[in-house]
Amino acid sequence: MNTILLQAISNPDVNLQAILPETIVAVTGIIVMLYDVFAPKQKNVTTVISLIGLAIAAYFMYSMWGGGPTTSWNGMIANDPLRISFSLVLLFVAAVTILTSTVWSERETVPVGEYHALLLFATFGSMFMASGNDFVIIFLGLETLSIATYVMAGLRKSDLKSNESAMKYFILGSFASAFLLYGMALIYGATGTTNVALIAERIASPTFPGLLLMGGAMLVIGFGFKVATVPFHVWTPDVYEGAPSPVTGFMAAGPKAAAFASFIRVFVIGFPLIGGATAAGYLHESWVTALAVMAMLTMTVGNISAIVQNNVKRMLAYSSISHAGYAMVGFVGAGVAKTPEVRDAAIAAVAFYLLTYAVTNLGAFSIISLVGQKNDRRTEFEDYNGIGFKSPVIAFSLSLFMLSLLGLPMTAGFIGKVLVFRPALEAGSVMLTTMVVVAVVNTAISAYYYLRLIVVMFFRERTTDWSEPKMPVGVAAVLLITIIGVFYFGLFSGSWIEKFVTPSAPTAVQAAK
Amino acid sequence: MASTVLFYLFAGIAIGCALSMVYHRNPLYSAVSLIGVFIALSCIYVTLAAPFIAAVQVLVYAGAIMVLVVFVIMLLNLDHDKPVTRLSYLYAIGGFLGVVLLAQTFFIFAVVKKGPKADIDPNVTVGETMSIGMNMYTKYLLPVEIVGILLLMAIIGGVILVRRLSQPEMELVVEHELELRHHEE
Amino acid sequence: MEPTLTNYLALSGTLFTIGAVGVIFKRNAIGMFMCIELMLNAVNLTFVAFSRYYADVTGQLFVFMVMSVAAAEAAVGLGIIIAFFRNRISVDVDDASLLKN
Repeated sequence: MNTILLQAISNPDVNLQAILPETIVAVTGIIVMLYDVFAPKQKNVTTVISLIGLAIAAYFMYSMWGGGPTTSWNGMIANDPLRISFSLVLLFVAAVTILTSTVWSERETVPVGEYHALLLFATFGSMFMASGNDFVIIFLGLETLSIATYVMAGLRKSDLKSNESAMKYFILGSFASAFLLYGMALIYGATGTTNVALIAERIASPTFPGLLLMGGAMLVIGFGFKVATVPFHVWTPDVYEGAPSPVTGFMAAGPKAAAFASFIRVFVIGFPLIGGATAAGYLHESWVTALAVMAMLTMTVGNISAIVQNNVKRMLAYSSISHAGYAMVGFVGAGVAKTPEVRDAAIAAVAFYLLTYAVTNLGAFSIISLVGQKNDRRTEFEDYNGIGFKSPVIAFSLSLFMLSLLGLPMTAGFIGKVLVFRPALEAGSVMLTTMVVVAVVNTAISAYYYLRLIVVMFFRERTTDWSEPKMPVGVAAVLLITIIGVFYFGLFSGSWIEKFVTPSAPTAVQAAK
Repeated sequence: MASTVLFYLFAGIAIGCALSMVYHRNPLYSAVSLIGVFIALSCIYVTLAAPFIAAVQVLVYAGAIMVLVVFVIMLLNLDHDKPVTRLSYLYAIGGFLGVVLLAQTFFIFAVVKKGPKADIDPNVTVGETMSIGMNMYTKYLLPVEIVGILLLMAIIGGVILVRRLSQPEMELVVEHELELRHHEE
Repeated sequence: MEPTLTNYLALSGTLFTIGAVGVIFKRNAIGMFMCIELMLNAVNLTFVAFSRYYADVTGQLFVFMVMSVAAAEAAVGLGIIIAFFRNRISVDVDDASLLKN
């Protein structure tokens, strides 16, 4: 009895170093929450505390490059470039969202302190989605992120649209979680483990080969809902339109990136390419085909629906759907990669793409929050009529973000697109080449609605009054960061891409263990 | 033999209660049917040698979650569900989903039937509280910590959503209500 | 003869199907929420059945985590429904139609 106890207790494989950034984010969330309880009338203190916490977490996350063991906590936490690059994107998104939310402090009574705490806990969950190497961690991270986001979508309690958005998001989000969970259960049944690395090993000779396919299909449905791919995108426009604008910006950038991180980890690393007519080979072939078809549908449906929208937030919601499609092109490219180097480069390309999308999109949403006035009343295209020369700062920066979303050379969006399309092109199969062609055609279609907003701002007569919104310091900082980001990633992206591919630890460490 | 009888008994109760939950339009009847499913499942967990999960199932699902649901139903004084007037494409989606999932169930059934039979050792003790507790605080320490943060966050979220509206928020609701009435006239 | 793994999986699949179809046919948010709980329970049964088959505790611990998540989801979800009700005097999802073009 005692020996069993001792054995078990010496087993936990605790490695606080490996989850230090996540811990810092969670502790910051708790500090913010407690501060808000004891000093409830504050407006900006929790903003500063949260930003400091996120910065420290980002520093430790950044310093993980090039050191440390590759897995820890009994293989539950992976410490690889996938984790670090996506986590940095997520921390960046959280920090920018907190800055954007300062628009509320002047004109609305949103519970700021609790909101910051929720945002930090959501980031905590999303970082575990990027680092989780076990279905348990991925599932819990996903739920932490989702539940926090449901509440944030319904933050404006007296606004019916916000209530409705929260309710739709909650019902459809938990529905999708149930499918995801069933997929995890079936994969567990097929292989007898929930660890992604072990699944990759056992996949060649599973106990029940047929269950692999079923489980894979359910996982595609679950993750497809979370990243909003066609045909699982129906919730996106309604939820994005109703949620408060800063939260919408966060939802389009943060949860999407986190869901992509675990989607990639489970499929690219968990279900690798294995030759021969086995169940695993069939599984790999079918998920690559399914995702390629979904990517093409996602891009096309997203862009074509975006054209007919009259509400800017809805337009950007459909635009975010189509961007998920572009990111999936790189994902499929990573899936068919034959060598680990090519695969890691493709994964890094997807992470970089989501970073550029986050920079551009958060910038755009900061302006939409600013123009939206109290309770986001002005989000139609008409509300942007003719503001071009009246408020040049707002109009020119929004135009820049639209051009970057479109993917104009010299901007971040262009480099991101080139990088995600390349691995799919280099794979040389007919289907993947078709996919890239569809993506390029779609980029051309998307020019219509991105340029339409610019045209509306500069060349349309304004019939109603325009009072230029007062720009809080936080939003000014967001604009500065995102505009510099758009140009910086557009012109000097090389060092970051290299960084994203760098392995975090020499493979020898793992062999020695 | 006895365990087979018990399995079919409780499986029948679970499926019957599940159907009744979907069928009933009164949310309170649905809630009570769902409690029936939970208890039947809890009995099935006992036949699967998982006594801890069986106990927690009753405590957490039937005891905590469903009490909360029933409480909310009473608080909101919910009426009967309206008769189904939904668009017919929803029927199509629902029917399609049902057929696909049933087909999947048959597929799983067939696959597992063909697969290797397990020689289950009746003395296996994985489901006992001792082994669960030991694993929970050693191998699964990190998930348990994440669950802690998750529950903390759910409390904050619940408080934010259900707290009384502040004065300016109340004014907005009233304003909106007046707008709606104005619209109707 | 003892009930085998296949029996448990068939039961779990059937319950999952009933839950998923129920989410689509139910009209009010609370009913949908209860159907989702049913789906989660069906998945839990799959986990426990495989846990028994492999004599591996992972499945049961997963179930434990799912239960905690379900409790958190219930707290937040019912909060959302109450917030909606307070402004709308209805939990019928068809009344939620502000967000359409």
